[in-house]
Amino acid sequence: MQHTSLVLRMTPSPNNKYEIGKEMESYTNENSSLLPTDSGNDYGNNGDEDNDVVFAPLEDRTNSFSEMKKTVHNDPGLSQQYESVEDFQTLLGSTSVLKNALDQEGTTSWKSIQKRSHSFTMLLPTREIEEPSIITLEAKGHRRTGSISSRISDNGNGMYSHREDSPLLLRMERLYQSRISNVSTLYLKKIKKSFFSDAKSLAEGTIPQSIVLAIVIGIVCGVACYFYYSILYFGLDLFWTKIPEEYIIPSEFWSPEYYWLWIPLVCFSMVTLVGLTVFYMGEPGDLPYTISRVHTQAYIPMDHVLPMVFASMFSILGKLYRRTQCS
Amino acid sequence: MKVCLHTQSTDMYIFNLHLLPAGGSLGPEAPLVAICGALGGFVSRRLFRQSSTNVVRKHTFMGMAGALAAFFGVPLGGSLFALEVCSRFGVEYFEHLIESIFCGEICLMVFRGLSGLPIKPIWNLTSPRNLRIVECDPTHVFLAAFIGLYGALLAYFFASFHWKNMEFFGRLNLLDNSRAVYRGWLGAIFIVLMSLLVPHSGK
Repeated sequence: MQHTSLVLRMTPSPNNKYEIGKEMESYTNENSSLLPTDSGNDYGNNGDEDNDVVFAPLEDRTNSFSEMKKTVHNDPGLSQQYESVEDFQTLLGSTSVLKNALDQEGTTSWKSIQKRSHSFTMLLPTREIEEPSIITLEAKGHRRTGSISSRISDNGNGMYSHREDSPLLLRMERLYQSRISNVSTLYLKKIKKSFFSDAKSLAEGTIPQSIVLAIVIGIVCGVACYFYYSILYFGLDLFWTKIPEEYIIPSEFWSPEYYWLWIPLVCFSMVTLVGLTVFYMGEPGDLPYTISRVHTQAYIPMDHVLPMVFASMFSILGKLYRRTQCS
Repeated sequence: MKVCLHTQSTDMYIFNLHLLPAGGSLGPEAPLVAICGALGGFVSRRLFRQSSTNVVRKHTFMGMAGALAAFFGVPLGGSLFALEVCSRFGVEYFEHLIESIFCGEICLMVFRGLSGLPIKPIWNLTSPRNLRIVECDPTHVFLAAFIGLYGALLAYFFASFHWKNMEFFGRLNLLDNSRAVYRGWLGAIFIVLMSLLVPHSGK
């Protein structure tokens, strides 16, 4: 199980300035394998001449991936504004590590950042973490505007680079400003390394999580199918077998030449109930609607379930049901 | 058996042409796909707090596959159908196939176990005179292809007539849900006539 990791690292440069770099450990998932690699810009490569892989800017890569998904799935939902970083993260895949440190309440102390975001330790080498007075992250004005303002300041000797000097941070800030309306606290996600660690945490999109979800969803859907099936066939048997045979035929008030009236009586009653269901409970949605929801939202809203249950029940009950024996 | 299947399928074909515009359903499978798909997404998003689009979509497919597998009685075919019905540009989403089949098996066992039904296909086309086919001639493949094309042709006529009916209802301004009752009544006229003339056209 391989993951994509994008690790932001503060690395001292030869001129004794701290620069924001990135370390691409692996790019083997769906997102990264389609990323363009012909960018001529060096984004914080720290002057490492041995690293031949130069990735395009993060913003360009994200846009490229978005366009690819639009082409493949024709998904209009990808062009929407995202309410949170978690939603936005879906653009880059569940294994992408992209999040920066932000605090919703304003200035956050170094100790609180370090305590709350354990994965933040991945951001900086141990040497830098041990100097809390040197580097502070300040978040400001991001609750509504969605801006990222991670300012790196020094302890007075001016030896550390400002955020405006970092092209990567600037691009990430523009990216979040354009796509996310409600930025929450960012952090670096800890990447699981083995099947057992995935099973222990039920990490998103992993095989253990799929197994558990398949069992739970299978049981829930099986029970739902059972109740639907039981009620449906109870109604079919009641309206088309039990009532006609036990109440209509033995009745002295229902002449045999008018037995056929039972068919339009039940049909029009059920059709009326179908219409009232649609009128009062809303559109139940049909199969094309279901498919469109799966494509655009990836889920089917629950507010269509009850109208669908009642409308389908009444419409099926309105059909003439007869047990035919073909032999 | 051939006569029975032929007459009943023809009647059901005509019957359901008018049933759909009236708001009817061909059977419980399509509603259950929507219901179980919604339940799968609900379990994923609400109970397990999933937020990734691809992961939630996978769990939605699990629910859809479970519904079809439960009613068709075959987890493989039901899961494949759940995935292919959503494929608009060729093969899509088939990366969720294994999970969907597994969920379909679970759902099939739960549903059939609770309802006391055996795990078997819906239609049993065998009889003492027509036993199960244990081998077939290669020419039967071409015959099957021809039958498949014939079914596709019928489906094309069905879809064309359906959209003509929708246009008809649209011209009468009955597609608005505020007039759903009148829409149902108009469709019910055809359904009742068909049921009275050919009573075994129902399910």
